[in-house]
Formats: sequence, structure tokens, C-alpha cells
Amino acid sequence: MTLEATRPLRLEMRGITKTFPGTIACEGIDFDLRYGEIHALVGQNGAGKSTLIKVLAGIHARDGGEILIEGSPVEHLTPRLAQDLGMRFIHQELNLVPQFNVAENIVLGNPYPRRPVSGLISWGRLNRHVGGILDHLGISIDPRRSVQSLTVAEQWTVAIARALYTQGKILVMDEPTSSLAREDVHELFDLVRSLAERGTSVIYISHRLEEIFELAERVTVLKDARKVTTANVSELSLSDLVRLMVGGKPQELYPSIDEERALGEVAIEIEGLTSGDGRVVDLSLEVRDREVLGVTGLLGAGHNELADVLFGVKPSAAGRITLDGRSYRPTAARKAIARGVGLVPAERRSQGVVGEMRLWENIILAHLRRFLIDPVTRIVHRGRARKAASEQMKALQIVATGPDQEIQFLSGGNQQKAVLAKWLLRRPRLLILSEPTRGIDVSAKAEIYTLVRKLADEGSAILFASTEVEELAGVCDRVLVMRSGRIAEEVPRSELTAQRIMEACYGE
Amino acid sequence: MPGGTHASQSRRRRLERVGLTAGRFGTVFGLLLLVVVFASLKPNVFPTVRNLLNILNQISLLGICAAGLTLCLAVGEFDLSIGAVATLGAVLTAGWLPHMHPILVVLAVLGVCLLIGLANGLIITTLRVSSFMTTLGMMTVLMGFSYWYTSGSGSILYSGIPKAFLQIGRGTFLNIPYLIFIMAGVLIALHVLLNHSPTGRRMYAVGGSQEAARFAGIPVKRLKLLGFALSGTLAGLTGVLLVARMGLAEPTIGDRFLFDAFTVVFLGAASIRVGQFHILGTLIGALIMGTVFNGFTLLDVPYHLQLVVQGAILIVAVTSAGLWQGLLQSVRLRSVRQTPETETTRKDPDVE
Repeated sequence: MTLEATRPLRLEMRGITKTFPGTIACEGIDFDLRYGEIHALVGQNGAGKSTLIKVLAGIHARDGGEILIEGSPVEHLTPRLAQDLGMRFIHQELNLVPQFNVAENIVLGNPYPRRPVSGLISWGRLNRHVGGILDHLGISIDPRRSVQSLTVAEQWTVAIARALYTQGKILVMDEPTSSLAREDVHELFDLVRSLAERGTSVIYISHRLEEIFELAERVTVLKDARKVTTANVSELSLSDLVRLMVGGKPQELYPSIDEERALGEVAIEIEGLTSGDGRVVDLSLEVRDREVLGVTGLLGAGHNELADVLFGVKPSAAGRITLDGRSYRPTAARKAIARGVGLVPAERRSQGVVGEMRLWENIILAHLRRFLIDPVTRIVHRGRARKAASEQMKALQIVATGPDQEIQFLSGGNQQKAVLAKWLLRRPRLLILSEPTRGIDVSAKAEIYTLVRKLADEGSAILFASTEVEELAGVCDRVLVMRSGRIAEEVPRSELTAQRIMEACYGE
Repeated sequence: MPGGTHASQSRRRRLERVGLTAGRFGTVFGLLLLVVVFASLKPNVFPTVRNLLNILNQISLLGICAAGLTLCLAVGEFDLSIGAVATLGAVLTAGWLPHMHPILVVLAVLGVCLLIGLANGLIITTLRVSSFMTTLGMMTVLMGFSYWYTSGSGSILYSGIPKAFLQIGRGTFLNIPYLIFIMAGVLIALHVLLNHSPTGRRMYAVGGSQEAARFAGIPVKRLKLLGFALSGTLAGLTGVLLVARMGLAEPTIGDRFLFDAFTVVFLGAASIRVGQFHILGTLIGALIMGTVFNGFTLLDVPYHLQLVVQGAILIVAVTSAGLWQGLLQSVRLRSVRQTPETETTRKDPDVE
């Protein structure tokens, strides 16, 4: 018995075309979704996934093509109409109102239960109603709790509960796991599966390809604004999928590592470091020149905080750090930079780039002093700065209309490469990377890995803080696994597999 | 839970709660402290019903104006034009009263101020200009208009204002000035609107996270317009009542309301629901302002010193919420070092 025979189509998109000035974002894309199906949508950044979803959400008007919901065509799709047709979108940013409690976040945008005479909100009924929905979903969260006190996974369940508050039929999830810890991912998957079993159709977008094999029935691959194929997941392997996304020959994701090479001097030595917020406790480690040291752990284990402390953007409370044999007390990023330390921060959009500034301005931002015309007037020499930035753009193959393009219009991968370019203007003594490949596409990931290895080979020390065990296994010389702010285990190169690291993260 | 005795955890939790309460109710304690100080310095004059009513009467216009501003800030926007709108409301009221029925005048003035608020809102939402710039520009335009409008009459409009109209600003019911009733009515209505009506909750949603509101299908632009419209209208009402109280209007009459209302609203945002603009907080802020001025006047403290204190109070109140946060953090850290593996409790002190 085939799926087609059992379940009819809930959504059909035929030949969807959308152009923006200068670019074609979607070109004749077909996509369909059955009742109770989990259908993954994959593609590199800029392949057209988000545009396709925004067309479906009514945020972008399509230039061509048809959309049929349960067999009937929909002409002018608006966000309101999409909502009325039962479509629910959960974006990466979750879109919760931080000041509101769980119940109010779930009812957001929907009618509140009212008191009979006054028409005022009946808080009692709201809390009971929301409590009922949460129970139904098997989630035990008090509806009166503030969303700020929830874990990221719990916030996702709140966002899902909101989508289902008014009988959502089609659930579109954009990168739900990019900020989730591994143990929470499974919880989320269980929830999504149980929704699908009850008939909800799910469009699932993710850069973590392994998840697609775990969760989805079918997958549609987009590339360069066109559809490559739609296939049953069971008929594909991971490398097939990567090949379809990248096109042409399968690409080697991780660079080869010369295991025989000699490491250099100790670049940085940390003893008994405790961070001001207590997220890092009594931590000691050292990184040598030419070494890529991975630091990982479950979400909140402290590896990302360690990166921030070492760069001076989060305070440390205790401990001694020696950089190049001299004491190093990073109390501000400025001081870290002066000592040759660079950070690729975890939150690219808020910490890594200044969206409205041009690409070249972003690249030279940490090194403005090097481009002064003279030391008295302190005017930045635009020509020299642009030229230096352009050289970096070329070296890192940053795809943009030019150095003058505002960085916010670049894809995530290209933005991240620009963040790296910022530190490559001057060869960094110590480069710290915090979740450097979060939310970026496969080929940009591969480029970043290669770049990191190349930097190490040229003599820099690298601290690679990440929650992605696969990439740690692929890029690092050894990996320190943290639990609750402390180093729990060290995994040497000889044992470095994703499996081994993941086991260490869970501990004991 | 490994490490950390139960006793030390509960002690920490208690400490945190004390800290949070101190932060939330800091302004209320401050207000009580002021009352105690003034009452002990002027025991015969300050703590009397008459003086209490006096304070409430003094803050009534400020309370109304600040409540309007609260709505605008609740949707996440600024309105710097409120002082100028209040002035405009006052000069139009004084200018039109000799020629029209008072009820018509009030309705017309409120209508004009509503339109100004809408204009602010439309410029901001449709042309996507920052509210800071737009309302600053609007303020200047309106100031110019008010000067022009009053220039023919030597800057001050006072003739032809009916006695009955002045009764609004000076009359009492059960010995309680009408203005207090009007302020109470406005504050209660807006409190209910913001806290217990879907419209008010959606306004907060817009202010809390505009993106979240937009994606939830909430009409963000319309709610922002509403915020500006109410802010403008209530500033206009403030102007109308100014004429009723003072019996005249001149082109700087409402200017101070801009600074005072912002002070009051931000004092309020540092109270009880820290970081949120809410009517109860605004009332507390207005009471603090009123008490300070009343007390200082009774103590013959010169006006320039009053201004210094007003500014200092605002800064102290707004920073103290943050200070408490910092204190809490250090308390937490100390206990973290003693009991290393308390990850889960540290994140969320309120969950038992």
C-alpha cells in the first residue's frame, strides 16, 4: 500500500515563481504535502526555501504558479488568509513575547475567552483552556509561567502549542533544532511525530540533514531557485542528499588533517577560570599553536560562555590566563583584539555583523586603526580599507554584489565568512569560534572548516566551541567536553568520532 | 541534586526573593519613605486629608498626560509631541471658548489632538520613520503654531472664558476636586484596557515583540495608531483641563508635561512590573512626583533644587532595578562556587 493511496493532498504548490529586483528566488517550484505527512524541505542558503515558505505564508505575493489547499485554488494569499486556511508558521526566532506568560503567548493573535457581560478577558478560562491544550500535547508546563523562565525546548513547545491552539492543519517549522540541545531534539521530534499521526501536515526545514532521515517521510531538495527532486527519504542516503543539494560530485565536508605534524608552543594557558555568571567553573586548559581545540557540551554546558569570557565580552570572576607567556586579563573585547585574539560569536546577527553597514565596513571594523590616514585626524582611508576588505572577500569567496553591499542582504554563510574575514585581516594569535556554522549551508560549512584548518596550519591557535558533534570530530585535534561549566572529559584525536563525543556530553 | 544542601538552596531562594521584591517595590518604598520624612518634618500640614487631596489635584493633569504616554510606550513607540499637543489643546480651548459652546470646544479640541496623534502614527507606520524623529518634528511644528495662534493677543489668551468652564478645574464634589475624578476615570479605564481587554494585551504584544505580534496576525500598525491617537487625545485633554484650572493659555503652558510625563512613566516602569509600562506604575510615578513637589514646597525648598531632585529620583529609580539584578547575580555566583552542580535551580529560581 502506498502513501498516495491512503492519504490525499492537503497542499499543492505548482510552478511557483518569485523574482526580486536582480534575482530569481523561486523558479517554477512544485511542492506538495499530504495529510499527516512530515515533508522536509532542504537546500543551501539562497536556494529558495525561505522565499517559497514566505509565498506560502502570504508574506510575498507570487509572480507565477498556483497554490491549492485541499484541492481548491487560492488566489491572493495574505498572512491573514494563510492563517484562516489553517497554516501555522514557526520561525527560527520563535516569536514569543518575552513579557508574556505561556498562556498569553499561546493565545497571541487568537480570540481571548471573554467574560459574559463586561467583555473583558477571562483569565481563569484562558489558563484552563491553554492548560488543556498543553495536556493534550503531553507537555507539562504551567500556563502561568513566564516564557523567559522556560528552556529553549520548552519555548519551542509553546510555539507549537500556539500553532495548534486554533486547529492548525499545516505546520511549517523553520530550523527548529538549531538552538536546541540534543536531548531536547528527541522530545521535539516525538511531539512532531504525534502531531503528524493525528493528521497535521508538517513542512520541516533544517540544515541538520541527519534529522531528516530520523523524522521525514519525503524530502524536496531545492537548488539555485529550482526544485531538484522530491524523493522518499527511505530511498536516499545522507551522501545522496548532500550531492543533490550541492550538485555535481559529492563534496568532501571536512578537510584532511595531517596527524603527524608537530604542534607549536603553548599559545594560551588557562588555570582555574570561573566566569562572572558562574556558567564556567574552575576550568583549566591549554591550546598550542597549530592546534584546533574543540570545546563542547550540551546546550548551556558553558562552552559558548567560555568563548565569550576569553574574548572579554563576559566577565571572569577567578582564574589565571597566560597568552604567549604573558598574563592575559580580557576585560574588554578591545583588549583581547590588541593581544591578537579574535572571536566569531555565536549570535551572528546580533553579535557578529552590523546589518546596515556595508560589507567592507564590517570587515575592517575591528581594525579601523590600521586604516587611518594619519594619527592626528584619525580619518579612515576608505580606499585602502575597501581594498583590504575586497582582498579578503576574494580569498574567502564571499558572494556579494561588491564590498559596498549591506551585509544584511548576504546569506548566512556569506555573512559568517565576512565575520571570519574580519579576523583574517591580521593573522590572529588565537581565534575563538563559537557555533561558527549555525544555520549556514553545507558548502559554506565546508569552506569554513577548510579555512579553520588552514589558519591552524599557518600557526594560529584555534578554540572551536560548538554543539555540533559531527563537525568537532571532523575539524578538531582534540575535544574537551564540558558538563555544568566544568571540563568533564578530554577526547583525543585517536578516539574522535561524533558518537564518542556525544556519549561524553551525556556523561558517566 | 548533587552538591548544595537543601538549606543553602532555600536560603538563596529566599535572598533572591527579597532582592526581587526590593527591586519591584523600590519605588513604592521610596514613596512611603518620602511620605514618612515629610510627615515628620511637617506633622501639622503634610499628613492631612486636605494636603493629600491637594497632591492628587496637583498631579491630576500630569497623571492623565502620562497615562496617554504609557499607551504609546506600551506599543513600543515614543511620543515627544505630548507637551506641544497639550499646549495646542490649551491655546485652542482658550481661543475657541469665547466663540463656541464649551462642549463643542472640548470635542473639537480633543478631535484635533486625536488627529495629530493619528498623523504621528501614520507617518511612523506607513513611511517607517522613527517615532523619535517624527514626534520631535511634530512637537516643533505645533510649538510654532501655538506661538502664531497666540501672537495676536499678546501671547496670553484669557478673555471670554466662561465661569462654568472654569468650574471643571476648580470645582469639587464631596470636597474632592473634579480633576481627581477625571484622572481616576482615565486611569481606571486605561488600566482595564491594557490589562483586561484583548486590545490592550495586543498592544503589549506589539511593544514586547513586534515580530511576534506580526507573525501572530496581530494588526501591528493599527495598534500603534491607537497608541498614538490615545496619547495625542489625552495630551489634548490635559491642555483643555489646563485652561479650566488656570483660566488662561499661553504658548509654553504645556511644555513641562513632556519632561514630567516621561519621568513619571519611566518611574512607573521601574515599579512592580519592572521593564513594562503600565498604568499602576504611572500612578505611582505621578504620586512620587506630586509628593516631592508638595513636600518641598511646604519646606520652602527652592524650585531649582526641586528640579535637581526630580532628575536624581528618576535616575536612581531606573538604575536601582538594574542594581538589584547585579546584586542577585553576585549572590547566585557565590552559591554556585560553593555548590558547583546546581545548574537547574540557578536558571530559574521561581520554579519549585
